[in-house]
Amino acid sequence: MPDYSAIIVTLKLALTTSLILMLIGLPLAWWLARPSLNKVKNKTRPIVEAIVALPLVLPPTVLGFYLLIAFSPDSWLGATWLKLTGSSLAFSFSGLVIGSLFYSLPFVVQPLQATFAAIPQATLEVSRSLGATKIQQLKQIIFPLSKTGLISAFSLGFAHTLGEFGVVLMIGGNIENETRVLSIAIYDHVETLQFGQAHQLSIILIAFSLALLTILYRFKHNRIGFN
Amino acid sequence: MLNINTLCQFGDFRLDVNQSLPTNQIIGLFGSSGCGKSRLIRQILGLDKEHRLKSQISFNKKTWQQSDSKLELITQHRGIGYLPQTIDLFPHLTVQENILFGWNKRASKPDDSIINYVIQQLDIDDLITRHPSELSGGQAQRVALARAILAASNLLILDEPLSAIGEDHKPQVMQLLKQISLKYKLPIIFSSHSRIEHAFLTDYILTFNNGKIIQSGKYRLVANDINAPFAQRPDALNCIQAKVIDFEPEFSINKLKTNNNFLWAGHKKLAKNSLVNLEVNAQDISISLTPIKDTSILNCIVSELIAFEEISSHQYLLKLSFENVFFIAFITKKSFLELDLTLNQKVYAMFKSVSVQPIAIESDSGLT
Repeated sequence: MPDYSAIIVTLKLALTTSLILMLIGLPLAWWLARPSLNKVKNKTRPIVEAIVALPLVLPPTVLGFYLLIAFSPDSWLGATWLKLTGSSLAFSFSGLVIGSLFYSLPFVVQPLQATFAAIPQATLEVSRSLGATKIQQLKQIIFPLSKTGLISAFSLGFAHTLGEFGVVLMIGGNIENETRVLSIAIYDHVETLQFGQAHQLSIILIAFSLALLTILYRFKHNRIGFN
Repeated sequence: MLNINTLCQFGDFRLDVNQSLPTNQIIGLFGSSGCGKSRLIRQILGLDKEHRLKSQISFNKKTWQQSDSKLELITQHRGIGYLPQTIDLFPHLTVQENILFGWNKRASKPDDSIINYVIQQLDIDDLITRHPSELSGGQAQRVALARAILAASNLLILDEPLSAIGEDHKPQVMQLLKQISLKYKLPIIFSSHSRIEHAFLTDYILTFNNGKIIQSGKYRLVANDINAPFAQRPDALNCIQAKVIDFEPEFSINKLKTNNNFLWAGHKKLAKNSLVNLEVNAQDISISLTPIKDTSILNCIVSELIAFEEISSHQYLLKLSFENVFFIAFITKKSFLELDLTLNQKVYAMFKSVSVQPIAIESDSGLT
């Protein structure tokens, strides 16, 4: 029997994280992608880009370590959370979501940024001159032109969260139905020499990720020729 | 009236325009590339805010922008149909969706018969289901033109609207713009560095140089003033008004009369007794001291040389007149010296009828 609870927690985490990241990532990527003559923006942009890219180069343990400190009831964040919800952030599903948001941020923001940067300024200006309001621009021009980027961003954010290990280990621990995700469950099975179980979960993860990425790349290739 | 008072800085380039423009005519912006035509267009559109040092624009007494009070009517509320130089069709939409993009967002619309009329006149009926990636440059420009025309409730702004359109479609497209402007009382601002396009379309011209307007006014007045810099440019176009006498169908040629001279111009039949402007490129006029009989050149006007000027190492500009009509010819320095031309000399100015471009004078355009 595969460990269904780990599969469910993992999918729930990946879905929550990638949905929230899309909400945060859209305005952030737009801000990063669009050219500007504003000096303050041009100075702060590389710093923000570096912060977004940081999880790509840092070991997850570093991120996990500082998150763990931030989650502790002694810290401002941990204390506020405890006051508001009555439970601790560390070793909770909410804590895992917060950790994953940081950890998967570049995988969502970077494809979005690339796709937004590819929309010519003139296209937006023309749509405005033709009477399109901001909402109409978003719905009729920006989203359709960024379709590939939106799907890539969501899928990569999702796929990357599926495979998260280091951060979860640091801040989530191994609580069944709460923080025990697939990667941790596999680690656990290996530790306890249950290779059969480890195989089952690993193969599920490989198959799922492979399918997701294949669909994503097929979609990408079909969209070439579009311009 | 469209009142513009704007001062903008783009790096080293400064746009400095203070001008009132009529809003019942076609306004032509003329000047070489980089002289400020597109920059001015973008100000009228309400773009390039960060480059403004001062910018006041009002359209028929309604304020569009005013730098001090920050009272600004945003671009999407100005009712402008805009065709950018870069065309910029929306790549994910079909031709039909592109054309109707602005139309569908208009608050006030004329009868929708205009849609089919524009589609037919621009010859895009067969393209309607295609995507922009399946269009040629000229087709794309015609589609973008249709999109702009249908979006324009107050003003139509066209940046180099004919640059990619093939010669075969140009007369039809220019005719359409004239008709739209008259029928829907729609003011049009267009930019072009082609003299012949201005000769066809422009009622009121603004001539630019280096971010400033150096000459403006009714096109015919500016174009026919042979002492103005505009008339003396290398692409100078002469305009000779003539009356249509007859059409000779066996040769497909029109016989015209200007004062006591008969002139010939092909090849489409012009309405008998109508007045036309004959546009003749100054470079297409040749000079002879004696009448030439055995020649294929049909048009010959006996003129007087009233002034000349060496304008480059190889060219002379001649100012000629006959019966109070003034025109310009460019000839080589070699010809000038070998003919030994002198002031007030009688010369025969000749030009082929194929180099004459007749433009009908419309009675209601107020050009006569």
